[in-house]
Amino acid sequence: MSEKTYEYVIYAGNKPVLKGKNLKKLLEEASLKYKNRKISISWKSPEGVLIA
Amino acid sequence: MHKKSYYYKECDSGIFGKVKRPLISIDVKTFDGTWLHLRDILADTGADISLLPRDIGELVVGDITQGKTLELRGVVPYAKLIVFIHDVCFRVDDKEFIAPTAIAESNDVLPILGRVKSLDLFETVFDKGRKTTIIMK
Repeated sequence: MSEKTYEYVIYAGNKPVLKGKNLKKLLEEASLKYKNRKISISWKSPEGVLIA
Repeated sequence: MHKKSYYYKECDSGIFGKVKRPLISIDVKTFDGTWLHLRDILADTGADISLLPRDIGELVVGDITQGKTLELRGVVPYAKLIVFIHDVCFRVDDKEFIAPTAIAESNDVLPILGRVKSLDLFETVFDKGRKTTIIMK
């Protein structure tokens, strides 16, 4: 059975550029690679998850 | 009067195939005074309180365990989540507000903007499963 956990998705401007579970590392990488673009954080839900 | 609209976002579900959810964007202030831009926060009028996952909470308040500890419960019987309550500064467009927020012990939660001192501050319109509009007066 696969582990059902959320993943972070980092956007530079309106484009998703990085994905993973270590948020601090992702933000550091994004701030180095995409210096002049607005960085934002999103989430990818595990498949098959309903929210009630 | 000022308003901000967000189109519902299509997400995968296990039962219905695709479902559309009222996800909005919001800024949250970190403990060092910078703003984090968060996308895809669930605007949830059924939630008493706003909720952030642990990693975000640590960027926002530092040591999350300094907050009051509570068990958060939802509609699922027996399921409970340990959270720490903190006052967190949010921003929608240029409107800032401070709201009591549950920061989860876990990262395995979806961030939620709940009612208390958050959605209740605004007139929020859920337009036929298409878009969420937050009206700031």
